[in-house]
Amino acid sequence: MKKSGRLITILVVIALAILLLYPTIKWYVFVPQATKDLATGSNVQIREYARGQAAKDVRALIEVAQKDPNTIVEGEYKYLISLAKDNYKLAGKKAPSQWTIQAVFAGFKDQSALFDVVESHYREPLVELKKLSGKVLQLGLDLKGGMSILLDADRDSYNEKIGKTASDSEITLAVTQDIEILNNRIDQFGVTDPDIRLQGVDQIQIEIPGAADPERVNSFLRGKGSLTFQMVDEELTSKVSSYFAANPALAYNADGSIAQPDFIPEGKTVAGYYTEDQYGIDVLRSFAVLDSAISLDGVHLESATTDTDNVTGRPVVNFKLDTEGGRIFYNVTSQNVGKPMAVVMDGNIKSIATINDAISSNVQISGFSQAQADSLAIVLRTASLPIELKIASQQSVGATLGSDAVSAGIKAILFGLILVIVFMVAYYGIAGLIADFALVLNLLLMISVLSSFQFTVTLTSIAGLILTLGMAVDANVIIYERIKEELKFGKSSAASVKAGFSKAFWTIMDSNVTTIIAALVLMQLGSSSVKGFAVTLAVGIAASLFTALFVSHLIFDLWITESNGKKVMISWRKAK
Amino acid sequence: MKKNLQVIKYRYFSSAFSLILLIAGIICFVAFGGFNAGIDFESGLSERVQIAPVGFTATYTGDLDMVLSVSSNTLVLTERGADGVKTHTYDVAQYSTVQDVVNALNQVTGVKASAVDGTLKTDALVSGFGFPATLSTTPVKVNFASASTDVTIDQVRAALKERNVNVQTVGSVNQGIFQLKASTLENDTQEIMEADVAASLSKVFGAENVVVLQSDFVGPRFSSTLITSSVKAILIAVLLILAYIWIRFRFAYAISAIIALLHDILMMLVFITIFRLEVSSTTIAAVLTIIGYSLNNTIVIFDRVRENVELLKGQSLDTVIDTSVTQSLTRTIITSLTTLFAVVPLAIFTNGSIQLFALNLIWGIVIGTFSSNFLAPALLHWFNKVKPVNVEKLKKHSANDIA
Repeated sequence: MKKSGRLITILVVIALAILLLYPTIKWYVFVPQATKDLATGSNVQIREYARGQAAKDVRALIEVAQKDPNTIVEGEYKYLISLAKDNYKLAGKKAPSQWTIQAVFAGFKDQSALFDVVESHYREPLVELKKLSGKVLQLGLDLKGGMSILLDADRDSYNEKIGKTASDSEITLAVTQDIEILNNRIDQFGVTDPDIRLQGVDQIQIEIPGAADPERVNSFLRGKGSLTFQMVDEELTSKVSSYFAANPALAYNADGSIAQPDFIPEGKTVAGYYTEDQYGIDVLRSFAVLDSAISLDGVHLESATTDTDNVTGRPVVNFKLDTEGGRIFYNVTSQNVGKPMAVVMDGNIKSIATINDAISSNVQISGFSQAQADSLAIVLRTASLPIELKIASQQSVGATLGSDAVSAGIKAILFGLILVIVFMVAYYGIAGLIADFALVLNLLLMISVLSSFQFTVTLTSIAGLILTLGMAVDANVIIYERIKEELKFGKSSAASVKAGFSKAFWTIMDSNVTTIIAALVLMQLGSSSVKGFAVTLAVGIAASLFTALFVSHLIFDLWITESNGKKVMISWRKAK
Repeated sequence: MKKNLQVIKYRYFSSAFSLILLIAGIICFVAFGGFNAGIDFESGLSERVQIAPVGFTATYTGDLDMVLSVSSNTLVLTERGADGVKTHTYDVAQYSTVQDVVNALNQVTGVKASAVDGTLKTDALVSGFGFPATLSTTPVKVNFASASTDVTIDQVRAALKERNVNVQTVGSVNQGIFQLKASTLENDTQEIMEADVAASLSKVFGAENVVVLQSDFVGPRFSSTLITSSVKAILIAVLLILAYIWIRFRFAYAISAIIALLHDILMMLVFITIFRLEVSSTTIAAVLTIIGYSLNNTIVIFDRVRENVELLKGQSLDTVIDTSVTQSLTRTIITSLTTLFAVVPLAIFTNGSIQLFALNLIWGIVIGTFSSNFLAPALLHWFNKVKPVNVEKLKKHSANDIA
């Protein structure tokens, strides 16, 4: 490859790395702490905040308008002007020359339209930030703490399932299996570093890094059977809808569940059709009557992938059915062409679609948010929980390490990194500087790739990264020692560099490929932290191969071209 | 030309060194009865405590069954006697301070309550173990969290320093609630451990101010299935590596490299056993790191041997090995040094699990360097006698087809 091509490749890789790191940098550097606290709250908390702020603002605006309708809109409310301007344009009206508060108000249909706009002004940044917070490097339990959740095993439903009263040891066994499955769900890549333990006989204690968010916990606990396909009874649905519309007070039982009116025959159930509002909170849209008999149980779903609908652009989930599920589903769908079918999750209807023709293997369903679709996909990929779990308590917990221990650790790690860097320059001179550049690039590449795996930064993982760097220097050392040997044989600088790199190539390849084999096997077969370690190791090796064999090589080639092939210094001693 | 290191000549010394360490490790393992497993691998105690001042104490001198309980953050006094049950509820709305509650309690016949700190707010009631409490002549203490406690997590850590307890704050920092996790020491029952932790905390904060909110045994973080599956994974990895080296080099290289690798893992375990280092999740990380490090080292040296077998035709394999180790020496030293540079500061400046991690790694780097330079070449020498390194069949790598 030509030098310019190689240089472009390197720049592209660096640009990609920075792109991957961008969310992390944005989150930790540019988002103020108060905003972070707001954004990491639950969806309901965000809604409360946005609505509260919007109400306050709208009241203030109205007050100003009442005092003097000709006040010019300025400062924090300026964003309203551009929105009002768009509305003027849509309505075909001429925009006023001066944006008085009266003119801005006239840009909105009514007060509630104005409120919506102000609310979304508060909501959008927070919802965006909340999404962002899921994509950044997390600080681990030792550095930052996280949330602590206590789960209770649901003994009653388990007894019902196995048909007898389970003994304590049987419960403990089932809970232990639950722990393994939760481990896989919470820690897909092995880099989240959660702490999951059996507590007492039938409880599970979980500590996960990150802010306390009940929605996140619920997504881990969802069972496969929580997703079902059921036929919709259209006739009863319209009857129930008009009944509830006429008697809204009768729609709910005292405990908040949906009431089942007397005219609903046995074998039918009234369920709520929920869609997510802009906060990701399920909101009841309408009622529907379903056949209580389940057409297809979620246990027959083999896998799920998430996608975007070509037409609507909304997230859809593609389910693959197992053989038996395919047979069942084919029977149901072929007999009910033209009729509506509902997808029900945790008892709530997520979507209703009309069956167009018989389906036997792949089903595409809309009505899920991206996050729901993703968590559903994880649940379907892992085994189902032998015993159901309920959240007993949930609280935030602080860091396991004291601040003095953390600062001592960080200091030691930085000190180690500086020692490596200084040593390389002290021993190899300018060539050492090149190795150091490769080292820093290596660190950047590793962190950016790991951040896309939602890598959790703990003191140990940082120490591991630095150690990997200490080892990554090895590739450069092998190359330099080879070049030195070639120089000793009396070859020219250019020839020595060429021979050095090519002779070192297979040494470096063979030694790293053997290590990467170990890493890949552990990634596939290992569990939790072993897997996470293997991921880190594999990424580290790939980065070090790239920086040593590609980046350093190019810099050396450029150096030789620049110095007209005269001298390349691999040490402070003058070459003979 | 530099004088060659006499790696092969001293092969018996290096093998003997490893063997002695291994035997010492086995003896210690048996003598100590296994590894010193930390709470990651063993069950332990998980306790939630709150450091909160006592609001009031109450006694009862009477014939009735007088029970003080807490229901949804409200204090309830239940009188049970021949005449039936009578309950008094002291809700926050009516009795906002401890003094109010004390005054009300003293209205009840036979109950004597005395405020310790009457200004505390009733809604900050702390209900831990010991509730519901039956009142008797021995005073029952009731704790209330003050608006912001000045108990810091560092104080709690210091109080429990001797027991190696993991301490975290729970909820907002100024509530004074702490989550403690401690591994079991030998022959400890839950009662002994609880008493021990309580005694350590009482010494610093006063027995009356320590309220245990919850206490339970927790299982290990890593189950035995994790260990067996990890060992299986490592064995499979070892087999694949064996195959790779066999294909790229020769069988003698492959088997020597693998034995050297297993040697390093064993030596790490020997180190952990002899010095009774706590085995935690970081130990796994350290062992895996050393697997990578040592393998890398061995292959770099074997690669040199492979190359020199061709370059130094006519020389005995022993000379070739000695020459190769010597030629790689500068590289070996520099790489070991840079790796040690990254770890030694950790061992010096930190403590706890990070320090253990660093100590494991330092030993691993030393033993890995030793095995790559002395043990693996000696093994290659022996295995070569069994299955000779066939010079003709070695692939030649043209230097020009790269780059």
